[in-house]
Amino acid sequence: MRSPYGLDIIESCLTCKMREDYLFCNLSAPSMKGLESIKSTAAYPKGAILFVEGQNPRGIFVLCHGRAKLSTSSADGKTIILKIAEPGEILGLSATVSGKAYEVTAELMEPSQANFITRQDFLNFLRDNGDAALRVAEQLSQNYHTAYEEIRSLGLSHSASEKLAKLLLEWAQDGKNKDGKGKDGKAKDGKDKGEVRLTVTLTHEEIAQLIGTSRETVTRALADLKRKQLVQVKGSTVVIRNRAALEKLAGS
Amino acid sequence: MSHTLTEEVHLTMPLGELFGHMQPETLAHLEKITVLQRFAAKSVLFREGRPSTGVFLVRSGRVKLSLHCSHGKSLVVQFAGPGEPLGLGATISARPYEVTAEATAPCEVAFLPRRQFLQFLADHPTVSLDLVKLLCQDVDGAYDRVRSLRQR
Repeated sequence: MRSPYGLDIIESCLTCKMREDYLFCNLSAPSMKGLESIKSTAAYPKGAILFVEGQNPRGIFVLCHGRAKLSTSSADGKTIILKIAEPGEILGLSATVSGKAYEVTAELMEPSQANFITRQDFLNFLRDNGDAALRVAEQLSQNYHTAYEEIRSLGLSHSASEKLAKLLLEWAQDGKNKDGKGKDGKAKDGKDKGEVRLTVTLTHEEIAQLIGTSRETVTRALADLKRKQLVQVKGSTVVIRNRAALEKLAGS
Repeated sequence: MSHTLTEEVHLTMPLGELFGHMQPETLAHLEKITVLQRFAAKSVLFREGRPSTGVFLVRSGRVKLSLHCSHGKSLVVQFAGPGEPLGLGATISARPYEVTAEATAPCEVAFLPRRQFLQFLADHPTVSLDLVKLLCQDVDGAYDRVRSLRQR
């Protein structure tokens, strides 16, 4: 189907080609049918906000295409990006299950498709489909793991350069795991050993929110990495030129 | 040091309340797979990074959860008390334990071995939703911690 933004709209979960790759979506046939009957599909433009921190939970969004920025504001009014959600993830899960207000704001970073399921439908669905509930439990364990990784790296006061180096290495690693698709923040292996090419569409401001520092510090830290010839930056392309040195800087 | 008791264990609180309103036969199954363990103060229930062997449900006492940061510094993330299941996420996803759990006072713990626990979940799909609720609490707690660390 032709659609704005070149989005390939997935009309039915039953025929979705990505299903098997996504943790939640790969369900048994009866559960899949149940899911199909309670979800509603919509396409959203870049910058659309699915839900806002503090809002009563209406339900969950299963992200089919695109990426979403999950952010929260700190006591002093700063925006903190907790996570960038990838396709296949369920957004608003914890709030929907517990009935407490959404803990984060979910803003789409690119034109996206998401399937919405109302809170009551979703809870009934989980009650009736044990396998789906287990999938959800697995995603929660994953979220839990990510949060703890974050705590691990935050527990120690890193310099901004260290944190930036870590972030770049994480992206390089993510890209490798996904066969170097070369999407946003994803890596393509260069010809030379130790050289990884990343496409980063995040602004310096957004990177700052990810690693908990200021926009100026990110710009400075990146300039520092360039000067040391660890990375090369051309537009949205970041080439990691000396991975070993970057790893040393990140202290891993 | 832990002592595994071989005699039959009857768990009313907190196991019975762990998964909401359980049918008597569901509770009976859960009791059957439970191993009661006692830990002295300062003994370790499980260690961060080690493969998960199961869920530890605290019945009495107090347990300190801590983790090692990138450069070896130790950080206490939480103190857990009676009624709290530990190692749930790691057990379900077959991941290593995220934290080290150390008893700070003598503890009584109901241990649910991994394989039996997963079988239990498969046999009683109705408890899965309650499991999801428990995990949500864990995730919320972890993100609260991230928030407060970011603000420092």
